Amino acid sequence: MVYSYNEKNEKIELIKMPILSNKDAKNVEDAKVPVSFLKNVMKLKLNIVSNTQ
Amino acid sequence: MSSINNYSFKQLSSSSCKKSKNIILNSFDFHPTRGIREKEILSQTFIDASLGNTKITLISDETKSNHKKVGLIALSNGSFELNSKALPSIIIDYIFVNYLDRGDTNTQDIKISQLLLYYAIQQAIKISKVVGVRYLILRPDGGKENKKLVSFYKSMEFRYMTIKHEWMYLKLT
Repeated sequence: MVYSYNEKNEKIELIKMPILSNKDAKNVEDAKVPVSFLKNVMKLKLNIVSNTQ
Repeated sequence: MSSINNYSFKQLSSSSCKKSKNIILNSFDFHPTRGIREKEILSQTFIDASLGNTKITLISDETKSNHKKVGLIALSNGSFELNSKALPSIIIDYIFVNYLDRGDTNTQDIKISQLLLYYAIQQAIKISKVVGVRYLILRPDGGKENKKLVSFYKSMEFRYMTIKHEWMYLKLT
């Protein structure tokens, strides 16, 4: 649930999810993220403390 | 200077978001001019998290006193429509870095905002192994005019969906 200020900058509002047309689809469908980037991110050892009450 | 091992990521339950909202919000320093806006969005994010609509993870610097909280990220799931199909995605609802810690780096020269994004990418990829999600998406606050922020997300391999949309995506699969 993403919020931002409205155009008049008066109050925050919920932003609707995007709707892409057929014309726009190809770029997003065919996108490629460098495998090395994702591999390097997954290699990082982050100190994650789970599900704190 | 901290190493990335000195930062801990703590996932908050919905009940802790409800109970600790004000304590956590008051522990942060906000931008001198955009602070009201930041605090209002953060407050709404905690309300959503207390209802289970988003999940907040805090990042703390364990080298600082009381393991100081230096930022957070809120993640949820949703879908965007592409070619008349709803595509499941992980949404970065909000990234916040404590004002006084913005731009701080560690021994690996990684900013706190980068660490939060690396956390989001790792979690999204893990989720994508067991649940059908194909994209990690976000909407830079301030839109395309916020060139510094957009350039940061681009350096993290996020791309705009289209010229007219404000949303950026990173394909997970």
